[in-house]
Amino acid sequence: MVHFPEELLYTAEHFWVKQEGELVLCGITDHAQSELGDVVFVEMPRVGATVKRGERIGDVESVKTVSNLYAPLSGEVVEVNENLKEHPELINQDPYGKGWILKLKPADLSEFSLLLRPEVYQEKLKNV
Amino acid sequence: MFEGKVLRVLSDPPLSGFENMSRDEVLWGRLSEGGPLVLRFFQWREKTLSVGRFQRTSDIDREYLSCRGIPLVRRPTGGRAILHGEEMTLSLVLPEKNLSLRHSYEAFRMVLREALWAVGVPVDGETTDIPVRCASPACFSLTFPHELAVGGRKIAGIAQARGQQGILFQVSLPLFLDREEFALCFLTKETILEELKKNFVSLGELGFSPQRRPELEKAMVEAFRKHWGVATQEDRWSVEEEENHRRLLEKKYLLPSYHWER
Repeated sequence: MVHFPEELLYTAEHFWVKQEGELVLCGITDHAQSELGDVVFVEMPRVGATVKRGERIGDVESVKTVSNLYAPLSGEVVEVNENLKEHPELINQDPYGKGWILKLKPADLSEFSLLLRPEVYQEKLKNV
Repeated sequence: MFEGKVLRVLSDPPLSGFENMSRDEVLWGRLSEGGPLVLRFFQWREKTLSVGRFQRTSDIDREYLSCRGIPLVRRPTGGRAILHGEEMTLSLVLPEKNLSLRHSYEAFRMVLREALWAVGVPVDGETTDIPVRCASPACFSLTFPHELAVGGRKIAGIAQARGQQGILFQVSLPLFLDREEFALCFLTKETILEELKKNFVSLGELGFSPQRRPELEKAMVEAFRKHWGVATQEDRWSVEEEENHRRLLEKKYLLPSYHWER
């Protein structure tokens, strides 16, 4: 059973976002990891890179599929989860915890209004 | 889902692996919302080992490939390595970004299964839906969910890439596979050979003659028409697509460093 923590915000491209002071922590949702199956590789953006909301920032590969990753917000990449290089399975095991992908310093706070509340994200999933 | 849409059908002559992958990436990159779906049948000019988009090449016996003159090409899709040769290969590009992974595999698998049934290949009605773990770098070592099998033995490799513009599927259905040679392409040769003997069967071994390839292509087009409700249209590459392909080939696929990057 996939879950959607109430305290997080989401994108239609299956990213979750958690505000932590001036930064946001992001990763892919439980639904996304469950669809993908065993994740075998994650290509993450470079620390220091400036990204735009919706821009492709990397890829995640599972046993059968390569999927692009899209930035949930515009901003600067301040950290990526180095553990995923050796242990991409953390995304399957703990998508909202140890399987986080990157930390961003948002450039435009107004973009938060474009993120989805859990119930809206779940509703969207019914149509795919 | 695709009712009333156009399925553009392309048939290419035998090409190198680099050309084949570049062509698929061009078709995938050019997808536009509301545009046609594209089905491409293609063949391999020479035996070629393809690896998944981010697959490690440290499992590959590079020296063996070099001695045998087998090129290695990196696919735009995921999945594991395949030794291509005498086989039926196709790609499908879908201008659909919201279709879930599971639904896309199920819908595509149904069409392939129906087409294979139509030409007398007794594909299993269902395959495992249970996620499996397999450390093998070879695609045909084990059947994964939503794949095609006969008597539980895998007959096809199906892989996918998803982007904002849509989905690319690539399918390899070996008509004949030299298991020994395939296994020799890897460092763990014995293990892979055993897995291939146990878990894989080619269409040829099931009595499907390579001469019937056009019949199977026709059955596939018909199955798309019947089950997806699409209108099919045989087509050729446009001048612009050919130019994009040549550019991508030179910029990416003809560079050995790209294929051996991981």
